[in-house]
Amino acid sequence: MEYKFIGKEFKRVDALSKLTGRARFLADIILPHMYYGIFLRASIAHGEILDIETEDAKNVEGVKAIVLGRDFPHNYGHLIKDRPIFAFDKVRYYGEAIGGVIAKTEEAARVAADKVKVSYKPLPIITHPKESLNNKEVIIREVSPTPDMVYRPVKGTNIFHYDVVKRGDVEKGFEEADIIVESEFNIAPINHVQIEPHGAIALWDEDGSLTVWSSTQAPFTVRYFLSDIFELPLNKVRVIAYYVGGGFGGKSDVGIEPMVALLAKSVPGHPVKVILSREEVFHGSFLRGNFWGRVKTGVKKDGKIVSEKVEFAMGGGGSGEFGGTVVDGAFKSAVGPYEIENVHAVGYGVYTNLPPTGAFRGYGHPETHWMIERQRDIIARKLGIDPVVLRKKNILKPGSINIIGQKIEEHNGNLEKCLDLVVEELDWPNNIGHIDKKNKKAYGKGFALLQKSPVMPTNAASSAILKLNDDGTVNLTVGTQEIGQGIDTALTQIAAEALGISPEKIKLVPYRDTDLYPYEWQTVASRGVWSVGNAIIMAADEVKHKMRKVAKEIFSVDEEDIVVEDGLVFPQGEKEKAITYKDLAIGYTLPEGSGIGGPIVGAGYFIPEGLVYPDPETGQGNSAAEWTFGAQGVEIEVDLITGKVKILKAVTAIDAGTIINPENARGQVVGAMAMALSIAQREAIVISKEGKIRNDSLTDYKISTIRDVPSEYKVFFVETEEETGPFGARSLAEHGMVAMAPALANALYNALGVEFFKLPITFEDIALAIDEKKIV
Amino acid sequence: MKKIIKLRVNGEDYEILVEPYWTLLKVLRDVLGFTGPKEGCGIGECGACTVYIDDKPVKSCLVLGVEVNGANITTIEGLSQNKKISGIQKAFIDEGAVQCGFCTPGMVMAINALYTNVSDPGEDDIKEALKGHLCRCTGYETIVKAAKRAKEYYKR
Amino acid sequence: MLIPFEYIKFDSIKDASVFLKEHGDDAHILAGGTDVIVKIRARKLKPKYLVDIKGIEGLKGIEKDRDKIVIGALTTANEVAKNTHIKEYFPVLKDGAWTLGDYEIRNRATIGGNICNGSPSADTVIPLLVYDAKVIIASDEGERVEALDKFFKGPGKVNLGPGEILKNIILNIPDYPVKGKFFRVSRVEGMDLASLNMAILVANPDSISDRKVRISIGAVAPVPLRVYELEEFLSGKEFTKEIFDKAKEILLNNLNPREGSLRATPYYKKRMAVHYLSWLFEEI
Ligand SMILES: Cc1cc2nc3c(=O)[nH]c(=O)nc-3n(C[C@H](O)[C@H](O)[C@H](O)COP(=O)(O)OP(=O)(O)OC[C@H]3O[C@@H](n4cnc5c(N)ncnc54)[C@H](O)[C@@H]3O)c2cc1C
Ligand code: FES
Ligand code: FES
Repeated sequence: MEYKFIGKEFKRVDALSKLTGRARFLADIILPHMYYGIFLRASIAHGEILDIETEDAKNVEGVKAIVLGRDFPHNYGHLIKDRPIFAFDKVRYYGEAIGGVIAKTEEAARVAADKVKVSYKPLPIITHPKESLNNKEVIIREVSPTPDMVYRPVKGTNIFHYDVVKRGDVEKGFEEADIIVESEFNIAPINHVQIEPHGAIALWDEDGSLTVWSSTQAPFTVRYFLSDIFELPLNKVRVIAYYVGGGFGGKSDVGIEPMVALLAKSVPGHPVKVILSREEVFHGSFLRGNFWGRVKTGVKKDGKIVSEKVEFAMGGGGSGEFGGTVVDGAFKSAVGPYEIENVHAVGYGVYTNLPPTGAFRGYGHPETHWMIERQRDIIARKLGIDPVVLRKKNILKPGSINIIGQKIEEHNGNLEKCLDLVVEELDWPNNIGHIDKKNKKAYGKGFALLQKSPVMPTNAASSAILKLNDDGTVNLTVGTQEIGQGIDTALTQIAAEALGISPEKIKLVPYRDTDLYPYEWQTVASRGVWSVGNAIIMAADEVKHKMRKVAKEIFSVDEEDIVVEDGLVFPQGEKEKAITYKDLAIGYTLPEGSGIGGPIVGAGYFIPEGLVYPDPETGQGNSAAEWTFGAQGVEIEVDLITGKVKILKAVTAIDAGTIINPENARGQVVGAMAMALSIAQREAIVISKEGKIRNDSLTDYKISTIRDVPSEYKVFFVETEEETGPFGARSLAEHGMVAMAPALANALYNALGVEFFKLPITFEDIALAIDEKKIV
Repeated sequence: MKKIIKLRVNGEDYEILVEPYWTLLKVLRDVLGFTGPKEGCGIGECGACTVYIDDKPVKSCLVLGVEVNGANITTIEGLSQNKKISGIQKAFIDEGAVQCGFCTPGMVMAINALYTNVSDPGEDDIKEALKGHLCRCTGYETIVKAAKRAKEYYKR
Repeated sequence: MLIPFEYIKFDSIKDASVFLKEHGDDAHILAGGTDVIVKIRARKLKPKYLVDIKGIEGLKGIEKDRDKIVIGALTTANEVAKNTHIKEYFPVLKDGAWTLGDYEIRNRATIGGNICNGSPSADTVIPLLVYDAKVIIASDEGERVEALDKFFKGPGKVNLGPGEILKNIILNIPDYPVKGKFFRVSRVEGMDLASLNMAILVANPDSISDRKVRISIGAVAPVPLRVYELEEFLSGKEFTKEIFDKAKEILLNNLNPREGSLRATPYYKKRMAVHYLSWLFEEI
């Protein structure tokens, strides 16, 4: 379809203010009479809290209050209620907050916090998910299932949630198979490292209402939890959010807001501000938990996969509320984008003595794809067939049934085409790998496939309001957040297309405020364009409908005969009589002077229809709203001396439906590729024997710098229009993360002949492998 | 004990009272309201807080306010004056080099400083100038492009 | 955020020295602050007074004094790396200084701070060692000269008495041909501390009998390491395969990297040190 503003160049609406320093972020906010808070953090990873001594701290000049977990012993949560605001009975990870100090200055709060003495009865610790899965002695948190609980904890274990998929009969499938391949995989825990640290400010008014300013991706979810925890009606809780300096999921789960709100409750009338230090971001926000998994695959000689059994466990940290849904996301991709007759997959969320797991770009998919897309290459190798051929024999195409029993339709996208584009760009299967002994280099190519659907509740809703101004310009308000992904720009274009006016005439009002802006579930799951975009189209329809209603009076024709197009309103076939949006924006004045109509506002909403909960025993059911498919690849050069890998080229082909803004869409995919490669090549939270995060700073938790990223990025968009999406668009922003790690490891095999099963694959691992294999 | 210091920031003179332990970043942001420079780490690793002291780029989280008494400070707010943005800022728009925007002020300050030292920087000069500036959003592709593109605006 | 301290600035070594003595461990010298501020922020250092020495005359800049180069302790890493004398006579130091931090860090970081911070992998120290640098240490009681190699006592510990300030670094301009190189590996290719750094200097490289080799390595011992045993072994030798094998053995015997470093394993450090050593055998 040909569009006027969709798919066209349109510069980011937030670029200028971010370039001049005018753009506002949470830390920039200073309010009158503001105090500062510092959290008290556990100095052990697991233990009962015995005593907390605060006398010395109270005496520090400027201290206003000290709040402890035991003053408000409450676990919150929507799915399992296992998140304390501050730990009160025991601490479950190093750095867990057990309370906070409020003072006139941040320095005084810090000095006082250091004077608080806590004694513990230490308990044994568990940090690895596999260990936690099998352990029945060290129980990190006791939870028993209750009827209203959404998760499925297993009593007497550390399992707080699990998901099962059962299709066909795997054992029978294995019997039919010609070969069986079994592999085990691991992934280290990682941090999002958004460059903006998390922060929040809370203020309680004398009338008991609460205002929270936060660096959140999900203001309405924050509002929900605050109202639930503090038993306030929703209209007495107001959440305000400015631009978010990087989210990647790490600011979508509700973490510090209840903590800051609880601190502030002790000093009504004074806003209390807390900005996490970088160290605290490691200990006190969310992680992508560590991961363990095992895959057993039965395959026919010709490459047809007949049976696959997958078992995995995700470390959930000390509370599972926000980690269990990651398991829900992962299990829908437990076997990747393939049609397999017999599948048995079980995914567990288990408690560990680490900071809680939360959303992380890709939401469980990079983890399962790490296993599956490695496994596919290993199988192809065992069978001696090209991994492209192997994949093509098994991938999802229109008509295939996926792991949760959904039938893939044409409009879901073209995975095969994505694969073709990537292998063509890699010039596959030519020169897929070789060692150049003379120059001490090795070269390799690798690729992997991906799929992802938005992981969200079945009723995750969006809304939008369009307001016409007297001069024909438009204000647009939405509840979804600008976190860097470019949503404000894409939604401006969608509104422009839907209203038929240029995007320059539309102002998407920056920043969010739950009192003033329409509802949005969360800014996660790459669903913003799709979900809010649909709401905007509905709002635009309402605007047009209202204009038609007035115009029919003006032109004395039937409503159906009024055309609203390109900013003009006219009776069918009489364009020369056209009036403009401006004439109708706040009501129309008839020639004799009387007014008709009125200020025009359009509201729209969207909720994905027809989604159901998966069947608890089999995982089957229409629980995924839309799928995005893609393929990714890399060409690498390995330095045989240092073990370092240079990414010569990183490629993604993705079918994200209609691309709203090509420049920004590319930016999302490229950024995701770089992030995924940084994670795959070097990122790991290093945990000491005592369970402390040792590399809790940017000095020692290294992310890719400008000198570490790929030399070249290639991005291909396959644009199969999405039936359910606005102008045919679907999700895009996380997907560039999903299959990069297995693509890299597959390339490493082709370069060196070494199979890697754990992430990250550091240059030290590679150097060791080079030495062990005596490659140089 | 608080001390009085004099600073010229983006061409304006200020005389302010500061605590000795306030970093220049804190003084600029919390006392003077120049919130363009950002704090991403507080230990010199991310580059978001980059400002110029007497035209030299530094990480302002590692400098004390009291240390720069009498100095001339430039922040990102000072790059666009009289409603005109600088070449590098234009180039960032051209190349779509802004995403979340948190690293952006530091990136822009570093590249602008590069152009005052090297008239025709190559790709390696650009990467050298930005090697201590972290961006988690862009994969740096568009930032490098913008830094190169800026050449068009700095010439003449 | 930094926890409170007082700040005091002096314009003479004498006054600073007296103050430092008077306040002992409560007072701490501030030069460029790129180590000090980081430590205060982490609350590993809790000084009562920060003593800014940047107002002291005669501690800045690089002077040529006949056959010597004198570097003021307050000279920044960028100034060192860009200085024409350093480029001409001490290119290994130039390279070391240029790898320190990034441009912005180098605008603050001083060579004196790099030395006095006592890190076993300090990027200016490793090259200074192969140039046989000397340091001049001053206090209100006068000055003393010491070989830089004798200045380090352990991680973060240097040989400075109460009230003592590092004033200058002295380098003798070689009056013989030299060839040298600075090596460094780090976790990322952008700004990062060295996982291992190493400097090799060969005097009279073209004459086997007159050859003298000097080698220093960082991050493999509690202090920046000069490998004298290896230097003696290699000096006056032809660089053959057999010699390399023996040299490698001596090198490895001298390295004692600690386990559990967040930057590199002992295995990797040793592997890279051996590789850098091979430069001698390939390039000389
Ligand atoms: C982001 C970042 C990156 C870095 N990268 C590197 C790197 O790559 N390589 C590297 O080697 N270092 C690196 N450093 C460490 C640091 O920048 C250097 O060690 C620097 O040279 C320290 O100098 P300074 O002037 O900032 O010292 P300061 O922090 O001011 O002082 C350091 C120590 O020396 C003492 N001191 C300073 N001057 C004197 C003097 N004249 N007499 C007596 N005592 C004195 C101080 O009391 C203090 O204990 C990095 C630091 C940061 C923050
Ligand atoms: S805040 Fe200064 S470098 Fe990160
Ligand atoms: S744009 Fe977000 S960190 Fe660079």
